[in-house]
Amino acid sequence: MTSPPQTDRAADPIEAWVAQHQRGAWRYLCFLGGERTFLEDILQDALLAAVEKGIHQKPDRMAAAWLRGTIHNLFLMGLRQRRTQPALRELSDEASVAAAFAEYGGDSGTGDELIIAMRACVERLAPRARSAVDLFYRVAKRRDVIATELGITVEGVKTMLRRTKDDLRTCVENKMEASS
Amino acid sequence: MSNPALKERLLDAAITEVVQGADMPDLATVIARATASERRRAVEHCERAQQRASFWNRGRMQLAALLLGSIALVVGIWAFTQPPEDKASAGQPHEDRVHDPKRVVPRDKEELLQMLEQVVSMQARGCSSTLHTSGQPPVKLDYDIGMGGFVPVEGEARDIVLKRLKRHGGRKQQPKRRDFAPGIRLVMTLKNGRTLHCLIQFNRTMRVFADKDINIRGDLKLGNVLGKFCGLSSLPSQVALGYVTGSTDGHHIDTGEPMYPSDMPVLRCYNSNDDFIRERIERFTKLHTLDMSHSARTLTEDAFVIAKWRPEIRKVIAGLRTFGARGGPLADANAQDVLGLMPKLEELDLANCPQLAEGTLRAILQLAQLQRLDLSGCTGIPPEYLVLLKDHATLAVIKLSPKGLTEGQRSSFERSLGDRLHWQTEK
Repeated sequence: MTSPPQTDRAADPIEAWVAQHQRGAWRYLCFLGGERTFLEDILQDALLAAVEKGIHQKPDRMAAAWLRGTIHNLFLMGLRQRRTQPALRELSDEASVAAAFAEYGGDSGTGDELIIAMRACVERLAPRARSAVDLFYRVAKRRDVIATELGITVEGVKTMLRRTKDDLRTCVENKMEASS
Repeated sequence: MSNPALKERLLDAAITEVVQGADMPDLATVIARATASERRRAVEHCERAQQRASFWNRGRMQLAALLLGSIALVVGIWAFTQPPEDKASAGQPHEDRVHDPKRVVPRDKEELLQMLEQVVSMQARGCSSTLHTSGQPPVKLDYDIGMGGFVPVEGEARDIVLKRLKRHGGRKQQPKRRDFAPGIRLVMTLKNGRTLHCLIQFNRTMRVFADKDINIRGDLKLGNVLGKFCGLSSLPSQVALGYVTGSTDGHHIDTGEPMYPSDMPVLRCYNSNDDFIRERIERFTKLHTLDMSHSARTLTEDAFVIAKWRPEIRKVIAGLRTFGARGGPLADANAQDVLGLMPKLEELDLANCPQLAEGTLRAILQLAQLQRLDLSGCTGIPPEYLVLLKDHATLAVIKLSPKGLTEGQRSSFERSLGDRLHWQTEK
C-alpha cells in the first residue's frame, strides 16, 4: 500500500492556487449540470490543464475566465462522447453561459456573491416556503412528494415554489445590486 | 442581458448549493502532487539545456561528434562481421530491459518488485508514458502480485481456471493464453473515496477486465470504469474483472484465478437506482459494503422491498456490514423494511436525509451489531427519539448535527450519549 505524503497547502503555490479556483470552477460545473462523477472528471482535467499550461501564473480574473472556457469545452466534448445533449439547449453556447454566469458571478467570478446573497434570502423565507424549498432542492424534485409532506395539493406546491423562486430572485438581485 | 433560461438555471444551482451545501471535491493537494514531479522535471530539463548550451559555446561539439561517429563506425563493422549465432544471442532478453514494464515480462520476484516500484511511483506521480491517470493519484493503493499462477497456464492450473470460468457460465469467455501473463492487480482508492480495480500486465498495457476489454491506457477515470459495474447497461456477468491471488504474504503467490464481479467486496454506486438492486446486486455474493449515497429517490419505491421475496437478493443484502445512503435515497416508510434486511450492519451512514423520521430510528435500534451511525442532517427525526440511542448496546460512534436543536436538547444529548456523540456541523 502506498500513501502519498501530506503536503502543506500554504507552502505549495499550485495547491494554494487550485484551492482558490476550484470553488468557482465547481460552481460553474454545477451550473452546467450532469452526473457528479462526470463533473468531477472535468474539474480535474481543467485544473490539471491550467497548471500544466501555466495559467496559474496569470492574473486571477484571467485564469478564472480561462478555466470556465476550458470547462465548457470539456463539458461539450464529454457530452458528445456520451452522445447526450445538455439539459438546456442554451448551455451549448459558451457566450450565453459566460454572460449568465458573469451577471450573477460577481466581481470575483467565483459566484460567491450570489451564494452569500442567496443564503441570506433563503434564511428570510417564511417557514412553510422554506420547507417547500428544502424538500424540493434537498430531498426530491417531486411535487407530489412535497404535497404529501406539506398536506397541500400538487398545484399548491407548484404555485408556492414559483412564488418562492420569484421572491428569491428579486431578493438576490436587490442584494447584489446594493452590494455592487 | 443574459438568457432568462440560463439565469433561471443559475438561480436553481445557487438555491441547491445553499440548501444542500456545496459538497465540492477538494483537488488542491491532488493536482499539486500530480504536477510536482512534472515541474521538477521541467526545471531539470532547463538546467540540462543550459549545460548543453554552454557545451556548444565552448566549441567542443565538433570533437564529440567526430568521436561518436568513429565509435559508431567501429561498432557497426564489428556487428556486421559477427557470425549468425551471436546475432541471435544478442536478441535475448537483457537485464536492462527490465525497466520497460510495457515490454518485458518479469522472470523472478526481484524483477517483479522492481517493476512494481516503478508502477507505483508512476501511479503516485499521476502521469507517465505507461499509466496516464488524469493526474489523480490514489490516496491508497493495495496490490496483489501475480506470479506462479499467471505464467502461461498449462495442465492442472489451466483446468482449475477453466472450471471456474465454466461454473460462472463463461464458456464464451474462456481465457486466452494472453490472459495469464504476470501482472499486478491494483485496488486504488481515489481522493473522492471511489475505488478502482484494475490489472496491469507486464507484457502489455494496463487493462481492466469488464464486459469487454477496456483499454484505459489513455484515461484512468473511475467514472468510466466502475460505472460499468454499477450502471444499468453493461454490468459484466461472467467475465474476469481482474485477478485475485491466493496470498499476498511476502508477495508469494501460489495460484491466480480470474476475479469476477461476485468477488468485489465493496461497491460504491453513487448514481444507481432500483434496477441495480433488482437485477444486479445478487451477483455480488461477497459484498459487505454498499454505498448508494446520492442515488435517485426511486430507491425508496420497492427496490429493497423486493428482496423480501427474492432469497438470492436477500442473502446478499443480509451480508452487508456497511451501508451508506447519504443525501436522501431512503424514505422513512421504507427505512424499516430496508434496514430490517441488514441484521449484520456495523456501520450506517444516513446523513443529510431530512425525510427520515422516527420509523427509521426504530429500525436502527433493532440493529444489534451497529457500531457507527451517522444521522447528521437528519432533521426529521424528533430529538426525543434520538435520545433513545443511548440504550443501544454496541453503538460506539453517533454523528448528529446540532442544527434545529435547542441548547437544552444539545446538552441533554451530550449527557445521555457521552463520548459516543460527535457533532457534525454543516460546511
